[in-house]
Formats: sequence, structure tokens, C-alpha cells
Amino acid sequence: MPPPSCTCHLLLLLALALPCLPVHAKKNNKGSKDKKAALEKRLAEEKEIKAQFGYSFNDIANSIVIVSCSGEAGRSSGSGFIAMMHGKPYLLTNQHVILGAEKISFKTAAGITLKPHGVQLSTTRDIARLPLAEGNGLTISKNMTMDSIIGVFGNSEGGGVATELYGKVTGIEADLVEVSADFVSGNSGSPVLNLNQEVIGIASYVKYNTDDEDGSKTRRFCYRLTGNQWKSVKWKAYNDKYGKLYREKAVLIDSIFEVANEWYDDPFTRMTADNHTDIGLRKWSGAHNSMIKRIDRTAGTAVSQHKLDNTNKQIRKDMSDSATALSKVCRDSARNMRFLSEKQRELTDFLRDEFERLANRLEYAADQIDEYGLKLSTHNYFYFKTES
Amino acid sequence: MKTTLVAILILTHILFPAYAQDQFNYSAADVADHLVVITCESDGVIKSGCGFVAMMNEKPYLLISQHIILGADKISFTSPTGRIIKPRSVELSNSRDIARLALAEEDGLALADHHPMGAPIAVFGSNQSQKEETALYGTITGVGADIVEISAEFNEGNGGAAVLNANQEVIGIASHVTESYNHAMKKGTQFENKTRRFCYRLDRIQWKRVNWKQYNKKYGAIYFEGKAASDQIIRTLNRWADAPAGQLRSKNTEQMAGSCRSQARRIRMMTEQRDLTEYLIEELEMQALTLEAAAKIIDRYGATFR
Repeated sequence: MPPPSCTCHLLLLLALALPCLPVHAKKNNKGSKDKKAALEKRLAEEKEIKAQFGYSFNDIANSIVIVSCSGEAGRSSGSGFIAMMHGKPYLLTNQHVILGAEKISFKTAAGITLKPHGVQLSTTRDIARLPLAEGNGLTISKNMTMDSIIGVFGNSEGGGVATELYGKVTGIEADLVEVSADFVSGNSGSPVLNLNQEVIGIASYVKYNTDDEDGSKTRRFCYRLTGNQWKSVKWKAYNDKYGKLYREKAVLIDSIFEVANEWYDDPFTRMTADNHTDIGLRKWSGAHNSMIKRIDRTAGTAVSQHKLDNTNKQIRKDMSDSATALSKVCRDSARNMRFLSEKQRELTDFLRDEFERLANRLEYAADQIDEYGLKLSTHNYFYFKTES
Repeated sequence: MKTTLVAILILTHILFPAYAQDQFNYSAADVADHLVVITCESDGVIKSGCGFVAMMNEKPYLLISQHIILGADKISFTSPTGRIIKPRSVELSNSRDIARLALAEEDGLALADHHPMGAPIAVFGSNQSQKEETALYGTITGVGADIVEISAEFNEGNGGAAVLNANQEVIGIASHVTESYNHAMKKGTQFENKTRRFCYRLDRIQWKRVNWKQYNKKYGAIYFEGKAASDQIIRTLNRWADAPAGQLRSKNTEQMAGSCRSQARRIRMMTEQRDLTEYLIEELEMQALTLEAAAKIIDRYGATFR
């Protein structure tokens, strides 16, 4: 059917797209100078602390371990170390470094490949210890003092090399030690050593705020190695049942936040999760993209006022339904996580807490998506543009 | 004031390497006989890289990075003095970006037994255009089982260069440079916007002998194409990021994203081949990931241009 002579074209109105805010260049330059000066000061302090150590990295290179993992979620890496506990050598790392991995390799910084013969998990803290047949390792410290100086030796950024970072003890709790050494991802599992070459903790997690401009509010925590209760597990079975799920759900959460951000930036964007490993997200992405294609075809066509109203009404419903479907993907996964956390007795407290944390994040994502769905359900997507 | 500032800058640049160089009682010229210039031609494009001759189990080998020769149609090896070197066979490290090529008769550099943190090092390469050896000085800043991190600021052109300690022993082969990805947890730390430089160690390597012509024809070509494609797409996306949106409307983004995805699929299929080295599998996986990530970004551009 030919269009009427006085044409009114339907155009997509991207009213929900958020514009990028320009950053004030002058302020930015000053900020970058300040940041550089702060970093230089920090590195100079580190150098001073390093000078107080009576031993060097080279004295402990045989005990520092680079952990490399691979699996369906891709490759990842972390750190570890060899320590003596009750006269026996153990390889210590974080549980979160090895959970979900199909293949794990442990190599010391000196180049020796380690073959542990079992896995024990701390029941309450994010620590795994793997017995070694022989060898020497670092000593565990029994004492801890505030402000004492420390060194963190591990695989910063997963670069495949052990680096040295220095700082002080800035907080002490029953399970945890807070330090000022700037460890980052990849350092998970690094030993935190005192001046006597003793391990005071294992670098485990970082608390940061994305709004913090200079990182001054970032806090770094290490689990203490004394007072742990250990539980032997059949690693393959435990990892297949819980570890892989833990990693899959962590990937799912990242993907959900990614698609939600893309959708929030542009309500008509096509989603890129059609090949995702999570079946729920994959199905949602396919259905959502079909809807977007349908809407795309409507753009630019000539219609009457009545049809414009109906089209907007239909899109409002489709968008709202899609938001409901995505939040259902989140809530289904959250329920699954919570069920495991509450019912599975063989889980360590660490993994139980992690499943709870993942469930909370999924529910948070679901709430945000529902809220966005409400906005989408009231928006006018198309409007008339009269051509002169 | 201007003059003083310039003078200080120049002084800093001269003094810093000189401080590191003080730890060395030999110069680049003393090891020049063992340095090699590699010239590769692929699809009419000529590129060069570095290599060196070292003694391994008392036999001389030419050591180079695999990534320099993979996909090359023609390769030539010459010493800085212009002497042509003719290797006899090719062995590839299974997990590291190193190839060693057996030589009939040569004297070579010795390998170091230790890789101590903080030790002074120098990166010795050969400059193809100026026909002279180059030296960059620094220290070991990270130690791993397979690689070592150094502070000497080598760049892509130094790929394959010898990294030597103060005793004229090889501690590694200059391999790759990484740019730290930024993350909120790195704000204010040395890892924010950091460039890191790595060398592969030459000890504990599993060598795999290959028929180079066949291996290169089968896998080198796809590696080369994949690298060219991922480099090209990164350049395009960087240009798009800088260009005004109006200039981009004519791009057929859907077709481009589809092309990236099909190339990524083709590369991924190749990683299942059994005779590939682990190093090449990782490289191909990285190319596939880059192309897939690029496709996602192109999709987003496509939505914006609509």
C-alpha cells in the first residue's frame, strides 16, 4: 500500500539513552599530576620499608607459587606459597583461586612444578591447603603487631611473575589482617611476610569504591593462618559439584550486569549474549533481539495516529515483558544459589557465604531490571516527524 | 628557565641508563658477534626482529621468538656485520614464545643459572635500519617459572632480543609488553596504567622438532591472518572512537561484526589441532577473544548509528 501524500514518518526516539558527560580537562590535568605525586610518594615509602628487610625475595623464591587455572570460563591465575604447618609442607592458596578450574598448575617462582596430593579447605576462611610430599616452606607467625612492616610476594595482575610489594599492618581482627601494601587481582593467595620471614596472612580480598578517585579508600585484607579448622575434601567431586557452579554464576552475574548496562545505555541495543553458556540468559538474549529487530522494522514507516498509539503500546508491553523475563533469569539463579547455601551441609562456610553473596547480587540486579522495566513500560518510543 | 628544564630532562635520560650500565663491564659491541637480525617477508610486507646465538647443551642455537617468523613467506638471518646465517632445523618451545634453530658451527652466549630479583640486566638487539647493536638497561622486577619481568623499556621491535646479566649470560629472550587494564582496585597503585615488559626464561623448556615449512604453511598463515585482522579491527575501533558519529553512519556494522565472529570461529576451530604448540593455541585463543570482543563493540556502534 503506497504511503499517503502528506507523510508522517515514525522515527525512533532514543530518549532513554544517557549522554556521556564531558570531563573538565583542566581539573583532569591537575588531578593526574596529584595522582602521579601521590604514587611517587607511595613508592618512595615502599622503598624505605623494603630497605628494612634483612632478607630478599630471592631468599624465598622457592616458596612462592604461581597458580595457573583453565576451564570452561577461560584462563585465570593467582598466587600461593609453601608453608610448614605442624612440621609438614603445604601449598597454601585461596579457595576462590582454584574453585571451578578444570586444570590447575602450580609452579614456584624458581621454576619447580608442584604436585600436591590432596586438598583441605578452611571451614570458615577463604583458604585451601594442599599437602606436599616433601620440601621446606615458610614459617607461620604466631604474633602480630599493629603498624609492623610487611612484604607481599605474588603474581600481581596474573602477569606470570612474582612481584614484591611492601607496606604495614593497618588493622587486626580475629580472622583477618588489614595491610597497606597495594596488592591487586592475581595476588590472591600471596603470602604476607613479616621482618622475620614468617607468614602473618594470605592476601585474600580488596574492598574498593568505584567513586573513589585516588584509591585512598581502598582497603586490603588477608586471612590469618592461625586458628583454622581444616576439612579434607574429595576435590574433584567437590569442585565439579560446587566449584564449577560458583564460577559459572560469577560469570553469569558479570554478563547480566553487562547486558543490563548496555540496555540501560540504549533501550534498542541488540544484546550479545546469544551464545552465553547460561541457558536462561542465552534464551532471553535471543528472544530480546528478535523483539528489537521487530521494532527496527517499524522505524521510518508511515502510519496514522491510531497506529502510532498502538505501536507504542505494543513496544511498551514488549519491553516490559523482556525486563520481567531477564529479572526472572536472575531470580531463578538466586534461588538456586540460596538453596545450595541453606541445604548443602558439605559446603564450607566460605562457599556458603559466597553463594549467599552471589544470590544477593542476582536479586539486586533483578530489582534494578524490574525498575527499568517500569520506566520502559511508560515511555513513548515513536513520535511523528512531519517532512516539509 | 626553559633552557634549565631542557637540560634537566636530557640529564635524566642520560644518567638513568648510565647508572644501570655501570653494573656492566662489557658493552653491546662485545656481544655483537652473537646478535642476529631477522628479516621476514609476508604478503609483500617486510618486518624485522632480533635473535641471538646461545650455547645449549654445548651446541650452538639461534634463538628467536616464534611470533616473528610465524606466517612469513621468506626469512633471512644476518649478523650485524652482514654475515648470512643458515640454520639447519627448527624446534619450538611447547609453552613459550621461543624457537631454537640448530646451527652447524658457531660460538654463542652462555645461559644464566639464576634469575635473581633486582639484578641488573641489559637488552641487546640489532637495529636493522642503522646496522648497529642497541642496548637498553634495567633490572629484574618480577620472577616466574617461565618468565621474568624487567624494567628495561624495550618495545615491539626488540622482540627476540637477548636479555643478559652483568656476567654476559642470557637470562631470557625479550618477548612481550602488556598494558595493565584499569580497575577501581588499582586506583592510586603502581598498577594503574602500567606498562609491563616480559622475557621468557630459557631453562626447563620442552622442545618440539617441527617440519617448519609444513607447520608454517598449516598454522603460521592463520596466525598471521588472525593477527592482521585483530590489529586492523583494533585500529578501526580506535578511529571510530575518535571520529564524529556522522562519518560512521555508512558503515555496515552488522556485516563487520559477522565477519569478526566468523573469523573468530575459524581460529577457534584451529586451536583443536593436536600438533599445535600450547603457545600457539593460547595466541590463537587470544586472537579469537579479541575478534569476539570487537564484534560486541561493533554491535553497540551499529545500535547507535541506527
